[in-house]
Amino acid sequence: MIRWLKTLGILIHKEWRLEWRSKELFTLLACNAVLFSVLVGAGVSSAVLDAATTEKIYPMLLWVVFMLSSTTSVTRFNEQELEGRGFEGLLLSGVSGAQMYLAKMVVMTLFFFVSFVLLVLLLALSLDKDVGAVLGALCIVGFGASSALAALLTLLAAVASTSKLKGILLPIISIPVLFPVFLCGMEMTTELVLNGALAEGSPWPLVLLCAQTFYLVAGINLFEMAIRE
Amino acid sequence: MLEIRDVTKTFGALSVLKRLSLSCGSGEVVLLVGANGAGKSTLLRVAAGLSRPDSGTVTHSSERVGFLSHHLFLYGRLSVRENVKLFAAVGSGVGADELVERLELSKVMDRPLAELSKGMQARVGIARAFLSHPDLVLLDEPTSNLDEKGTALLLGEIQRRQFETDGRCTILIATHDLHRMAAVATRVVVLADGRGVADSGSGASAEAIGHVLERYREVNR
Repeated sequence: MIRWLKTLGILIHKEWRLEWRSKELFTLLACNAVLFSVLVGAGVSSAVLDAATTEKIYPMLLWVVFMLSSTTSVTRFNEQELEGRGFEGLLLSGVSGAQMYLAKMVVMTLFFFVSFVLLVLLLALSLDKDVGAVLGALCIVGFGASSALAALLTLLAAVASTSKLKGILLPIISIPVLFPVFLCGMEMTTELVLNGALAEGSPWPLVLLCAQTFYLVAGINLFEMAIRE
Repeated sequence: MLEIRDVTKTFGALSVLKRLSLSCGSGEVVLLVGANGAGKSTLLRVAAGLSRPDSGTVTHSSERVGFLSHHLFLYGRLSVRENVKLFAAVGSGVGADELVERLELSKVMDRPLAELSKGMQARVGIARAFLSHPDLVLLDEPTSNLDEKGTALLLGEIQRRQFETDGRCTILIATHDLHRMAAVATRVVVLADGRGVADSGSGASAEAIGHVLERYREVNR
């Protein structure tokens, strides 16, 4: 078990290094966050919505933008594996598909989370909304949703990676499957923004946990099948 | 050892391997020869477990497989040092420094792999293939990007691996470079159209190997 975890740590370090060197995922996520926030801010501003309406639609806008930004940014996430077929080298060295999947998922979660925080702040700025009081709670929700998104998108990015249509295939197949994450994130954000805390007995954290567990189990078991010829 | 039994592999309408069987014992160095499209590379990928056969079975006892092909199975954006360190760490690769020295890679350790010449990249590929101390080594056209020096280093590693494992390592080499690779072979198998059509047999003498290769050359003339 220690050896298994040590290998996982090595793979996480490798993923981090590869992403840090190319900065493809982070650049796409950051650019999408800025672009969507500005567009949404300009749209809401030209619609001349009052402060109360803006507050009500903030959670929905946040999660629509986050989901779109995430699903369209991961299309090149496996590109470096395919260039030199490094993943096959790892399989030959005795690394399991589950280890490779978890390493990618952890790194993707971190980047999604950073992009989520960036989005929360940028969108609040462009809609002139103060989220300072609930920022900590929003970050916890964002981290949970980021890991659920990463759990599914890591698998789907591997499935779509060999397709010429991956640019459009990934958002098309992932958004419907990710609907529970979208719904949970949006409902929890609404409760936080409007009431300052999650409602007592709110079912959404549990639903998010179930969705995350489901994606994780599917990913661990299916990732190797997806990458082997 | 490696046991391939009745393996069939198709890509769309193209049948590449047709109920092919091959049994290789411990310590054998088998040359797989055949014209382009005979199924050599596909057979090696199936043997490595990277490609699933449509039917038939592949069994071997080695947990780690050393595989070298025109794909490097490495990361181009990482430096040579980072690649070697990664594959040594995940594959229990003790003796990585010595291997790097033997393959004369020391001077390029801090350069990104993608910036090296094809020949040097191939040497890093050799290092990766032997880093995990595999008992099954599969080499697909290993000399295609290597100069004389690189080929000599590769042959040296093959012989060293046999010596280190007391002759327990099974090695399959798909090649057109018969002249140079025959030096380490203990057996030759000829493939044509997805089937084995000639086999010198295990522990064949240099004369028997030469005879099979001569027949192969005649057929392909």
